[in-house]
Order: sequence, then structure tokens, then C-alpha cells
Amino acid sequence: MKRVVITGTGLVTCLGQDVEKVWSAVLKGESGVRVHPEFADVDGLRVRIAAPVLDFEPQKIPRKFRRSMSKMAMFAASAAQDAFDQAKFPMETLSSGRVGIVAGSTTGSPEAMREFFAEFVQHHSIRQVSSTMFLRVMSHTVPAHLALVFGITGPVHSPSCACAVSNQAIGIALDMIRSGRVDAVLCGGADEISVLGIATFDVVNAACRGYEDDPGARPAPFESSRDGVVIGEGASMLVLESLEHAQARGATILAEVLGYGESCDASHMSSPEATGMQAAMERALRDAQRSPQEIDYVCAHATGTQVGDATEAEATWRVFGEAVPVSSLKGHFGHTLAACGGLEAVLCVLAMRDGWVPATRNLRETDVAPVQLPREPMRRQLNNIVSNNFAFGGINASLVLGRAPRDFEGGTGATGE
Amino acid sequence: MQQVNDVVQGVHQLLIEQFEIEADQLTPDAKLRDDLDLDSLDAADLLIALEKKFGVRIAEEEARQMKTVGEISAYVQRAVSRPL
Repeated sequence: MKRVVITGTGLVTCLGQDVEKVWSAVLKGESGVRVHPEFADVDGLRVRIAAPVLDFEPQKIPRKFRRSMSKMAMFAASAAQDAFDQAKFPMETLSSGRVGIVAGSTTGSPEAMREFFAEFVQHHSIRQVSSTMFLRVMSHTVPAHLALVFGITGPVHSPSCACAVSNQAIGIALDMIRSGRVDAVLCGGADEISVLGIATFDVVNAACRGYEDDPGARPAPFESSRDGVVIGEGASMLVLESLEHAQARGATILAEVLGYGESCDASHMSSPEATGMQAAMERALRDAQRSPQEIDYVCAHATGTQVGDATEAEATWRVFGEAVPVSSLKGHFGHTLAACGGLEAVLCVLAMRDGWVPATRNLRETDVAPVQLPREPMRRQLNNIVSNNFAFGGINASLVLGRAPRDFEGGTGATGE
Repeated sequence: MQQVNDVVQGVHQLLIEQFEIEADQLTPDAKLRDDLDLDSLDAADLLIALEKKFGVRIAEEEARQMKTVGEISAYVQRAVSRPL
């Protein structure tokens, strides 16, 4: 079975689009959450804050591609370009059939759906419906556009399990490369802020309401006073390759994908169960051939909801006890839905490189199971990290990432001590 | 009735703003497909945009006859001049 490594990363986030700057902002404890005035116009919606991507330049994508791309697809293409650039990937091989894509979003573009239904419901007409409407609405709009933009002719898959999308994408990519079906996969996820997205959480009383005066104070994962999700947006993309493929082309290896585990609670659509989360983590550890004692940091999904965070802390405590530091990055970025797993994986790569455990923003007091929750960034050599994502429907997806071992480190790769 | 120049200018403006065509490419003989690189998806959206901008209805049969920038302007000019 082939070993799989990460050679490229790219992000589009509320804290910027340069991976190094985003990481630096996280270590400084910055937040991209701000007042989102559009929400106030929606009858019944009680949410007022979000974490939007600022200063994104769609014009950098040629119109021939952009005309059928939603915001989420453009975010993904931008992040993918950065990932390929960092990997110094041989772009001429993208059309070899040996490179695939696994990337997705929660749904197709909600903005495109809104445009369609505004015309259809208001006028009972499709006369003003653009030819590219469905290309933005379809659930595989993100990977299909990535294939088009970069000329990738291998397999294209589109996981759509909401908040677990990009962890699933990395897990599926891992299997595809391990089996030898492809040499490399562009994987990740993307989402765009929409009323549909945040209303989903608001109607089940899981969205954070108010905070117009202090938007950065939320979300507050694991904090006793946590009061719900803050919606975010963006894209995260990683280039995964077989170790031998990366070595053969002299690529700098950033980290290794050691294992992946998934499970389904199969018990409730929106209320999670610790048993299912625990199973995903344990399966990931088995797949990675790592014991809980070998894990140096757990990057939590924790979105700031009462039940979700408590259940996750309970599951994490059952697997790792109190010895392993645990933190959530949702306090910095809000919940970027399909993008969050890849975003967290990218930041875990940097955490391993630099030997820093990032802290959970907005966490002071906690009432969850007694996992170790650092309030400030913490110095620690990180060799193995577990990164979790959980989605509505009881979908649980856990990754194990490993620091690039020195025996196959590239010239400018991992440098952490 | 809209003046010929208004229609030509309106068609050009639409092609520049919505389809990002350079102004100096917009000669009457410029072919939509070969010279301006517009394909079938663009053609469908161009029809919608023309109908919206000029308040006309363009039948598919007629749309297929329009191959150049000049033919679009001429068609729209005729359509907007028709008595209601």
C-alpha cells in the first residue's frame, strides 16, 4: 500500500488567502467574524454576524471559466492554484489521467438557487434563467470547475456531507492514491455564506444570535457560555501524492496523511452521539497504525454549539483522556462548512512544521469533559495529529496527519523542532 | 423608436460589460463564434440579455441567423421598430 503525502496547500478564508498569513493570524488569535448586514433583512432570521471572505478578486479567473462559476467554485479554484504552486506540481501531467479531484460543497451554490427561484416563483417563468444556472447549482459544481480550470482528466468525485466534506475528500483521496489508481489528487472543499446555510442552524436553535456590538466574541467553542454556530465561507485545497511520486519529482513534502476513519451515528439527524465520533477517531487511529498515546494534538470540529461541543469533548476524552491538547479553530474562522476540514488540515500541517498547538479563540471557562484545552498557543513537538469533522446526519470523519519524517523531507519542507 | 446609433451602442455596451469583449473587437463584421470566442452557452445568455435590455422577444430560429455583431444590431433595430 502506497504512502500518501501532502505537497501543496491553498486557502481562501476570512483571515486572508495566503496560507502563511492565515496561520500567523491564528497564532495571534485574530478573528474574521463581523456584522453581516444582509441577514437583518430576512424575516425570522435571528443571526447577525458571519465570517465572510474579503478582497477576493474573481477577475483573476478567465471569463470562459468564471461565467459558470459560483463564488464557492471561484474560491476553490484560487486555493487550488496556490496549492499547485506550492507543490511546484508538473501541470502538464494534469491531463495524464493519473491525477484526480475529490472536492465538494454542502450543496451547489445557494446564491444560484436563490436566483433561479426568485425568477421562477415571482414570475413563474424561466425566461431570465441563465444558461449557466445549473452549472452553479449542481452539487458537483466545485470539482467540475476545478477539472475545467486546470484540465484535470482523471477521476472526479464530489462528497457532499456538509461539514465533513473536506475530511471525507482527503480520506477518499488517501484511498485512491494508496490503491495506486492515481498518483495525485487535488482535494478539499468550499462553501459560500448564504441564508440557507445559516438558517439551517438557526431553525434548530444552533446558530449564534446577536453580537452586533462585538462580533469577534463568537463563536466560542467549548466555552461554558457557547451559544451556537457562526457561519463562515472559503475554500481549502490540498495536493496529495503518493510518496514515490513526490520523491521521484523532487517535491518538498509538507506532511503525511497517515490514516482516515469514518462512521455514522445512525441515531438522529441533528443531535450527535459520542459513540459515533469515538468510532471514527478509533478507526482513523487503527488505519494510521497509531495509538492514542502517539497523538500530540487533536484539532477539534467544535463549532460552538452546546450539544455538539459537549458530545465531541466526551468522545475525545474517551479516546485520548486528558493528556492530549485539543483546540477548535472555529473561533477564528466561524464554521466554513465544506471547507473546514481542509482548512484545519492545512493549519495542522503548519502546526507540525512550527511546533505550535493553536488555541481555541473565545474560550475562558468550560463545562465539557476534561480534555486539555489550551487558552493560549502552546509550544509542543507535533508528530501526529488527529483532525475531526462531524456533520448533520451523524456523519463522523477523522484524519490522522503525520509530520514529514526527516528521511523523506524535502529541501525546504518541515522544519519544526 | 430607438435610433440606430442607440441600438448599436447598446449592443456593444452589453457585449463589453457582460461578455468582457474588448471595444476594438466590436466591428460590424466581427463573428460571434470565430472572432469573439462566444460559444453556445454565451449565445443563450446573449439572447436573454438582449431581450431584457431592449424589451424584445427573439425566436430561436431568428437567433440562429445572427452570426455577427452587425447582424445582432440590425435585428434588434428591426425588432424595436415593430409596431406594438
